[in-house]
Amino acid sequence: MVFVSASALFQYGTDRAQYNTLKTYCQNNTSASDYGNCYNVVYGYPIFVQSDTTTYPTLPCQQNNTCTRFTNTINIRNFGTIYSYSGKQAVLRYFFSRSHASGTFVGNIQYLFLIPIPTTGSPGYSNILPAPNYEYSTWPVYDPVSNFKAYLNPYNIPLGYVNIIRWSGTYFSPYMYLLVGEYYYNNIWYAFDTYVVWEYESSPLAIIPLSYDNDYAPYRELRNTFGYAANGVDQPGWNADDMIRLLKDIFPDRAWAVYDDKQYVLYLYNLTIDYVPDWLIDKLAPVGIKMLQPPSNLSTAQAWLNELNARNRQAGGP
Amino acid sequence: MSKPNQTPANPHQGKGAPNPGPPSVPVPSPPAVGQIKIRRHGQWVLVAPKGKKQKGMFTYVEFTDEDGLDTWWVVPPQ
Repeated sequence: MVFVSASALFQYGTDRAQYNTLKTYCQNNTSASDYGNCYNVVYGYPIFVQSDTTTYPTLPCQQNNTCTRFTNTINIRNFGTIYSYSGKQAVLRYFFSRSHASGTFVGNIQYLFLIPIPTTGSPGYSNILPAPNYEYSTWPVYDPVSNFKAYLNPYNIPLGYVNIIRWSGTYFSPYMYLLVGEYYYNNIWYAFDTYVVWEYESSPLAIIPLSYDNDYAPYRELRNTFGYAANGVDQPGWNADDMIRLLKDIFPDRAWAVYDDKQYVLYLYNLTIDYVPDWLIDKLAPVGIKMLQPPSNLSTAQAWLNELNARNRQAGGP
Repeated sequence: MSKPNQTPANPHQGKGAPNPGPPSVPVPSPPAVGQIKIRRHGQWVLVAPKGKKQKGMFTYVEFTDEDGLDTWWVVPPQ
């Protein structure tokens, strides 16, 4: 049995590739003249929680598309399923999570506030985090692992806190969520980037970006035929023929690919080889590529490529 | 002494069962013009490519496979 590695990157308002230029923050002081603004947003949208829709029907950051506003307070915010495999073993191996937020760790590092972590349960008292050792710094703070010399890449944002967690280990679970502890606090904001690495049993793959809630969860048959991964690539199944048959049936009008890891053949549906990104070829190293059906509409193929690239910036997507 | 293109005399002739000799090894014929040799299912196969494409670290040739599907296959060094 062979295990292969997979990764996913989540970016909400910041960019993992930028280290010392990250200055994303929002203004949550209601007395400030720029209340509700977010600044220096690099990629995606920071999160702003403000439940008072009477006083604040619309925040400035909503108007200029620099945040995602939630009008509900919540204990644990779920940013989605990172992976969910049916009958296949997966192992969480590593994650790096960094948030710019209006709050920081509380008490010690085991009580997490406004920083997302991959987990199967409450992120507040996560059972995957190690000993309760932590460091609480005043400005500037730095990641002591990425930056050997603290003064090289200090973070410095005008408002709020920077929280960093870097974890590596072995955590067996066939599913994993990206969760943030908000604990019913209101008028809070946070931006984050989280990079997750896991392993799973080598298997045929269904390569189709799916929405877990909208078009993956409803189909029990789909869940049993192959797993779900947020990156749309590492979705292992049992049998390439079954996967092709089911995908033809459920998604006849979408573009998708199936990789047969026994024959090393990549099957394309509503796609041509031109739409397969080089980073995917390098990752899978297929010996052969076969076109099951040419694209009837090139926009379908382009949509598949765009979505795949957007979900795999860590792998080489633009 | 055999001359070129002449079958050598069997030295075992008249001395019992003839030695079949080493098994013949098929010598792959050189690819015809426009054909490319690829490795498929453990065998060398000659295909007439319709095109060639570089993807990532690999080079593929395009042809129509026996199953009727448009196919690209990795090209080994020719």
